Amino acid sequence: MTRLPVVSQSRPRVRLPLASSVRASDAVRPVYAVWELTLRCDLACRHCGSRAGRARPDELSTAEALDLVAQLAELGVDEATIIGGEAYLRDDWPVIARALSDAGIVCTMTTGGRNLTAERVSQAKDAGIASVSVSIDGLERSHDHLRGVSGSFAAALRALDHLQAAGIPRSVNTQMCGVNLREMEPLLELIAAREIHSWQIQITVAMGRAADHPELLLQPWQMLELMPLAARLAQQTRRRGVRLWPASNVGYFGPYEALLRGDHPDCHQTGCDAGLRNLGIEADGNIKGCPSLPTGEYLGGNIREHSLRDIWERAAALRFNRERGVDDLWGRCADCYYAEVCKAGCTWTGHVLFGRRGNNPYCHHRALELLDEDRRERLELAVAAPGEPFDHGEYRLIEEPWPDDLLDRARAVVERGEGWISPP
Amino acid sequence: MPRLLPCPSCGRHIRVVERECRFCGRVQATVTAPSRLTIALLGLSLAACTGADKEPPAKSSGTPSEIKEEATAPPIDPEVPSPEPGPEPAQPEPAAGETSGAEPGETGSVGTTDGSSVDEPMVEPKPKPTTKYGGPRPTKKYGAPPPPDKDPFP
Repeated sequence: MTRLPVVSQSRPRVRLPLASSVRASDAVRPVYAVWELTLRCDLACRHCGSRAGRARPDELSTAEALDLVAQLAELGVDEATIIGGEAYLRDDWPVIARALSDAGIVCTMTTGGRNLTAERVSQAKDAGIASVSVSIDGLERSHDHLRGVSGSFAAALRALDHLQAAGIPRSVNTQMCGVNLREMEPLLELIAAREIHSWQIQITVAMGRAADHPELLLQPWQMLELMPLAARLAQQTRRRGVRLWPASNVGYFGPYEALLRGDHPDCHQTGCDAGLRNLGIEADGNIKGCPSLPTGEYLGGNIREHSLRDIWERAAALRFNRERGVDDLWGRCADCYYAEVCKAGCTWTGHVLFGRRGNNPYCHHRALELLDEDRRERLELAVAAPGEPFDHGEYRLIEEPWPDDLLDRARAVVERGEGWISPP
Repeated sequence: MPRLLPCPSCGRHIRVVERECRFCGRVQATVTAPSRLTIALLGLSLAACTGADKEPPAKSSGTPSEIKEEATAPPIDPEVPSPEPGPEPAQPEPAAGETSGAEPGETGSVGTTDGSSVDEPMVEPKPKPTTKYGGPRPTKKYGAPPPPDKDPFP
């Protein structure tokens, strides 16, 4: 009997050329890696950038993953956060976590926590996981709505309780978006009671499924109400002994910059760290300079094709920040007072709106400058995303006068540092 | 990369070489030569950057927003669920022209005080500070916060 040839179900891997030589600027080394162990997930988040659900068809084997651990250590990575999908849905996740710890890499985990049972928490402890960040996106109705599964909010809190019982340091990460902005302060009451050490806040970015839901995205002018909120949260978390950790897409350069980034030696945001200090790994071995960047434009290579070090040093997609000036800035970012320092802030956040990096309307300074002109910016979906993991659509940026009924409210929020512009 | 420090008056970051704050107009006192006083003031200034003595203008007690739609039944397969029904559409807003225009260019210059009274002078920082609040940049800015026993400023 003639056997039919086995046809791989995976998409053909793109072989990307690497530069023939290494420059002095490529000697920089990643200190932080985010590793998607699997795309399999037990949640169905409406804002999921990777459109997680089912595993990728060609995820790394255990042996390949352990080899990658050794390469990460050799490259000097200090800390690796395992994510998914949901990392714990991969059977060998404790083996990989243990290997990271044994290699001297601090292993942390970010999870939706829906099935982070006491047993899995015990496995995490045995694997040496140093801290676990649970994703909670607002109060119960908002969270369950965003996560696409009823009961996921309660499950996330249970996960925090399991971690607390096991003595594993824990934190919470939250996406601030179009439906939960006013729930942040009540949410802090809930999560602080779980004795978290940190709270990471970020804004929802128009990637993956979030790109399909414009109503989930904040409008750029909402930075005028979001940044005072972040400042209030910074004060409240400090009083509670919780560290507020604004992600790199929360900013930039308004009157609260020093308060929100006081832990940074520069006391302010200093631009994108993709390919400088950060490294992203997808479950099939694809390597990017930041895990969040769109795979189509920022894939550096695959560890089945090249060594991690070769990709890190010689892939164009990981090099773009290393000798970056201001030439690729455009729109208002090109002429901004902070252009040389900020370089449009978070590359991921700006790129996925327009299919091109260098212009980021989610900026407090920019919203304030526009307000001085009685104007604001608004985003509208122009081209839908194709539906792949880490994809994006295209948004149209509209600059317009403030509506009369909102202009005074916007000014009042800026003046007082409290209140809301958007309707409840 | 230009060096920035927050204006003591309005909190906005400005270039240390600029004579006055471009946002509030406050005249900045710059010190061009390092001295013991400079170093001491540098320490105070950097400590201020932590925000320890910097309060936001006011506190708020915002009301929670209402969600247009509540999640319903859990998925059949608990490992790989399907999204529940979609959200309300975004509110339409009036159309307008696309973004254009530019911000004013910078006009900073090196200078000393013009005699105006300043109660908290700006000082030019040393090139690379070495203490915690002026030492190496954090090991990361992205992703999960580091665990509490891991000093982000090694």
